[in-house]
Amino acid sequence: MKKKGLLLGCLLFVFLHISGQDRYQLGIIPQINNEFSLGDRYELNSKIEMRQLLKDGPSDISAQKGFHFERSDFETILNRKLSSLDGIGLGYLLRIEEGQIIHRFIQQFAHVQNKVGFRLAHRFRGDETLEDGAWSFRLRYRLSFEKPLSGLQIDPHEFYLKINNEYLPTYAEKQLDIEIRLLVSLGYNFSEKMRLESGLDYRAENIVAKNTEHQCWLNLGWFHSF
Amino acid sequence: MILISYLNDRSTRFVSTLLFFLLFCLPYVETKGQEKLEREYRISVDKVPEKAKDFVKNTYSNTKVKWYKEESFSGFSVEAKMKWKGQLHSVEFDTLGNLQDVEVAIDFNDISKANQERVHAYLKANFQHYKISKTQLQLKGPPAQLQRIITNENQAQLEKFAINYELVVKGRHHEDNIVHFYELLVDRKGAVINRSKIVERAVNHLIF
Repeated sequence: MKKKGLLLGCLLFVFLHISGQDRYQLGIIPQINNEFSLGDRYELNSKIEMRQLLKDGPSDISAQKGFHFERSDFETILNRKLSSLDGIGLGYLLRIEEGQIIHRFIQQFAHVQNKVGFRLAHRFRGDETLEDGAWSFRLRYRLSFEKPLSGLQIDPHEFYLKINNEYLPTYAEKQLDIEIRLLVSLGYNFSEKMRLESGLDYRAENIVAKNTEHQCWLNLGWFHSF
Repeated sequence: MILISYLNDRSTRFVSTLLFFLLFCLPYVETKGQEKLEREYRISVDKVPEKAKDFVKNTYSNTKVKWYKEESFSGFSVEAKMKWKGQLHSVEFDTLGNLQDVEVAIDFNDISKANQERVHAYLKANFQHYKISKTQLQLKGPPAQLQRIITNENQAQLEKFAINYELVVKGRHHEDNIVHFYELLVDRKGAVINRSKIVERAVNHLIF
């Protein structure tokens, strides 16, 4: 009961906050993530992600895009494994948004910890984005928690819970800001090589600036390893 | 440019997204028959054989117990996990409730100095670098004897009754390109009798 009350309180807080003068966006993000093993040391990860906006507002201050296919991301990261649970990666993302092409360069270090009954993953990432001739820079830290809903480890044909919490300090147009993301998703493990996840992804952008935007996305993820 | 104009065509909108998703995903659906049958899952206490319940109740009084069932090629087993005197205990039974073994998580530094040295000597000879991340004592014997040992003996005494140690080692074996996790089975005299590489589950959904 306490947990339900806390969750309800958080949701109420978010919606009350949104109902003020902050902007909001609601939509769907499907993504396909494929991993190709390149020997013992290297692997290539490719991700295709698309954003379908369903609604935005309020009408007086939002971009008023409405129901709208917003953007497509094509990301590739070459990951060098330091161990079976740690790796460093370099990557590139191509974004097509409203007819405009955006380039992003990515560097990351990831470390996964096996605990009794759950796993934790720490991802440290830096990225540099070139959009309209201007650069923006972000430093990102994401903590992921994964817990099987049956037993102590995720076996084939079992469900699991995944929670991501990410902090993204951003430097753009000579201004510092921060974005925070929280994803809660339910996953299904078809096999050791294939998973399907679906969950709610809440993002708060431009928290320092006065035009904070709250986003809520229905996330659909398909993960496959070759 | 064709791709860009296609993606920006509002008439495609949501339908294109869904079609794209389905077209790319469906070919990857694998059949159940290709998978390795090996899994463990939580079970309720009423599905546990009486014999197993009795052993746990009489040995670990007033302790919260979690029950699991394990499926593998060799068959089914039932496992009880609990914390006892500050240590994690794992008790394995067959499906009739007959006791198979008891595993107790300990600190590697708590095993005898002679056994520590033999294990370190083996690891130094076979690994470029290593770290012992988990140590378990494996106890086997008649249920009444194990019950008496677990109930009455302290941790230091338990080692006298161990038949094997199970270690998890993070390290780079001479044959490896990267660091892996290994499971070592060590006998009561400190000799490594089996080494197997632990295959980690996929992490791409956690780090990308």
